[in-house]
Amino acid sequence: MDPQPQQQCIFCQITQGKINTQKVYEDSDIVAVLDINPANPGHCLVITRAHYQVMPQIPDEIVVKMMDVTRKISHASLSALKAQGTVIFVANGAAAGQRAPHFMLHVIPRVPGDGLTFDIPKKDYSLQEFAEIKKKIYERVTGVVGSQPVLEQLPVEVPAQDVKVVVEQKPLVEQEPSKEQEKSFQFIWQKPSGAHFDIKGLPVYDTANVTRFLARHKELVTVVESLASKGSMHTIELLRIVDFRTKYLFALEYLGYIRPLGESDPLLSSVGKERKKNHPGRTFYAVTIIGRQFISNPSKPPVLSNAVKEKVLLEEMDRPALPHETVTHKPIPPPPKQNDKPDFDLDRLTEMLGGR
Amino acid sequence: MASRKNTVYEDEDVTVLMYPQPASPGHMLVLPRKHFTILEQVPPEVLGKMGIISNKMSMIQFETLGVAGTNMLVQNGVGAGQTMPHFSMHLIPRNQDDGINFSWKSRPLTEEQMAAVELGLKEQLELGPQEERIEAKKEEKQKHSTVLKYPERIP
Repeated sequence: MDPQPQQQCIFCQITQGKINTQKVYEDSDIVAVLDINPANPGHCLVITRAHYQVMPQIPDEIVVKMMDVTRKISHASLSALKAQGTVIFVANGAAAGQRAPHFMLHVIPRVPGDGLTFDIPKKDYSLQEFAEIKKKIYERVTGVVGSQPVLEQLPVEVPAQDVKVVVEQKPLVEQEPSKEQEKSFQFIWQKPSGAHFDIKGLPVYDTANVTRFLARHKELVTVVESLASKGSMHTIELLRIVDFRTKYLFALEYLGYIRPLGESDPLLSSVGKERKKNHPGRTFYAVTIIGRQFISNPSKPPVLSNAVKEKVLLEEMDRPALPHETVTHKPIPPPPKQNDKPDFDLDRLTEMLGGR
Repeated sequence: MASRKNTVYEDEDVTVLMYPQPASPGHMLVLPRKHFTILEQVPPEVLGKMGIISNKMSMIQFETLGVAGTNMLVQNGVGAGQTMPHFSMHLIPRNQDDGINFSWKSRPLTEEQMAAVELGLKEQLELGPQEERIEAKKEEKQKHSTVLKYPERIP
């Protein structure tokens, strides 16, 4: 690859000014001229002063400049020539329609009734082929670019079949809940609308696990249960409400995730009671499950006994993670080999394309 | 894009995905993440990045698929055949005799016509894009604004 202008190349001579052409734009790196055999009036060619055969050979700074010039020329042709569109066309390689060994970018203004078509044909390919090629390209992209940024996780719809009904037996009720308690449970266990829960109007996503969030706060001691991931709230939503650590508790309490436990609270297990005695100054909270075991019958939230609750807790700890709960970080590939050689084999490329 | 399953590369500004109705195997689409309808709306930084990335992607097409050539095509405007209202660049791998034809018949113009076209384009390019012109107009207005000249007279 020789970026120096070559004598045999017509376009190098054009950029040097040895051949008479109508230049539209001139720069230290780039020249834009009108095509002598235009497809439409105003057909421009954007050429680099250095001799490159195909676009991948061009260094990044010049590519950026070229795109800016293209944009300006496209805008100019739209306003000056009253075109109704422009086509920007690059051909790398003779098979793609490259007619000259010097790289050029075509800016072709389009007018209705000009007889040109740049419509992209559609051909059917098998899904397997498509998937194979996608995989190959993805692997190569990560190899060239380095570690890929983690793609944003969209809220995933958990299908209704995925719901696990934990409470199958009739629960043993130790104490009938008072009306107040029932009321407090009601606003927690709301009917799911679609895939999300709505807790007091705030949307709930699957992305964040609130136990992880709560674990940062040492004041909170989870007594009864851990939160199920189905009903976890996006941490960003919570952070929008409050700023400081101490106010998190208020927010969570307001939202109904947690409830401070009194002395003789029905939710306190024996273990919890002991702990409460041992730590007199601390407030204990009951962290409620907003999760799949209550979806089965949202109108009648079941009141669980302590035994069932402990069983649920153990099961929740043991169960494997569902696909929407794991954050799929693609494995970070090793950094690209630090050689003097560039990423691509440019000599082989020029041979392939029949360059000189 | 609702589904992300076809994305091959993602960045804060640019997305590259495999086009679901390919013209040939390996047909890729480079999109900016923010919504721009046409080329003129895209800011030069984003456009430059898109150019760099489409360069790398066409190299990857050469290497992995072993094709003889690639095309980069931008359909800018409905008159040019733009189907989606979101600005995009198509990277299409090409082989000999693959049935795709992007060639055109050239229609030479007379010297007068060429000269007229050249003048028109040069004028527009010197003026600059519309934003700069609007700013220039605003500056002119400010110079002649009486309110700024005589601020004490404001009641």
